Amino acid sequence: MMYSDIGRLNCNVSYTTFSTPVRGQGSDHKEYSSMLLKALEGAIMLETFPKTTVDVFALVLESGGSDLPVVISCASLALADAGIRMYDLVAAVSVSCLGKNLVIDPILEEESYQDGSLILTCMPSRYEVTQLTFTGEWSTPDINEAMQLCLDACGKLGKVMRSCLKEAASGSQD
Amino acid sequence: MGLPNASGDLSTEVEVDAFRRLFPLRFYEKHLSESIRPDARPLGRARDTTIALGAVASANGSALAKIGSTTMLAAIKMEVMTPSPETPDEGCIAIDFHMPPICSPIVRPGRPAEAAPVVSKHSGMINLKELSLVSGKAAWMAYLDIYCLDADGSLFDAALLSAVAAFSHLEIPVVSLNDDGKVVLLSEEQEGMSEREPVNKDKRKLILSSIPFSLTCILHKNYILADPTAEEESIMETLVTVVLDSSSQLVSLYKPGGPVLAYTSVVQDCIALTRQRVKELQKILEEAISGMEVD
Repeated sequence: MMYSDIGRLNCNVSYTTFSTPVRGQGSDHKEYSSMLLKALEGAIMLETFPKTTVDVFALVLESGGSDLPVVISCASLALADAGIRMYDLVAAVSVSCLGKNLVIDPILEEESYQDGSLILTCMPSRYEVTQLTFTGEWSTPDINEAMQLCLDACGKLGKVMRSCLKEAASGSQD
Repeated sequence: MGLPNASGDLSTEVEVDAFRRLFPLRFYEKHLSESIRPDARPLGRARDTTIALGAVASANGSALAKIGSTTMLAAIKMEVMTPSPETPDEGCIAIDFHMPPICSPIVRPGRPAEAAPVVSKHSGMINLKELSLVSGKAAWMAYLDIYCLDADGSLFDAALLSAVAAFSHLEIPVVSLNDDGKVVLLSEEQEGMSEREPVNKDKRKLILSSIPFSLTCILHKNYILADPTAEEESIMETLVTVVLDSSSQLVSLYKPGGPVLAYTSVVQDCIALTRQRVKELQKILEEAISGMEVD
């Protein structure tokens, strides 16, 4: 491999064969690995570990909707737990647009009927977005509302993640 | 300090942790001579074991088994298939064992996992005839997938335990025949409402006769270490896996080579240890099942 004076990040998302209602459908999500990489890469201080690769492997045990946001938030917690330096934790939330309704954190059934979906990944305490994905049909006022909804939710999720890390760290010290 | 010309001189000077890394075998042998292991277990004791049933809601039966930090997740999905003409009234079981890269630092994606044990079909546990729906036309195909989430030694024991627990948790879905004679799944709301009679009303649970349990032991010199961790497995290489069923009858015995030879007395000792372990595991499994029924 080529010499690199900044670290590398390598991500892989896979599904168990029993994670989806029909066996073996989980392999459809090939793009998740690269989306996870893009979501995390902006938050990690890659220059703090030159000549080194960090591998992030995510395995979805059971898929119940909003998989990618969970994978991203979970991966950022794992990186923090491993002591990888980051600017901030990465929290991700998705919103589905069903007709005129916006549904936050949709379940599998809601996702199958959605007209459009939004996944927002951000660093809550810096209030910076690392990844924003829109798919499907959206109207401009809905976009604004959905983004605000996601940003608020990410802020709340970030707090939960932070307290979870603190708990784990104080638990291991005892 | 002089040059370290003999490891014995150093052993008292260097710190315990450094000694453990530099001379792992001597480190273990010092413990073994005191009849204790570095994790404070006596030689013949297995690690704490837990079973959680119903860990995956999207599967028909599932279980998470933990032996120490070795973690296995087993799940069963049932599908209807046409049985082969040779065995028209028998179903089928397909078993897959997966070691994703998260389970151990030495497992890399793309490379086949060396340690991947194959949980063989233990004859007698499941009567394949019970998986039959309509003779010659339809039968159940049970896909059993076992994922190793954390590999810390004794993988086969944990995999077998999770598989057995998943089968005891398995609830077969209700199906009925439609007008074309095809088998269709009935959802829970339709149950009772549909005029069509379910084919398998009384056969929702599999009857498991003689459940197999296993124990892996390491042989090293004269010592027998039950339920080794990954570290122990990497240092001392001779393994013996004994599988006994619930009435303590021998199902299989597996010793894949290794530098230590197993004499009759050693094999008997291993079987005796397994017999004790089977009682423990049986109790743990029964507690897990009765815990599910209360909920």
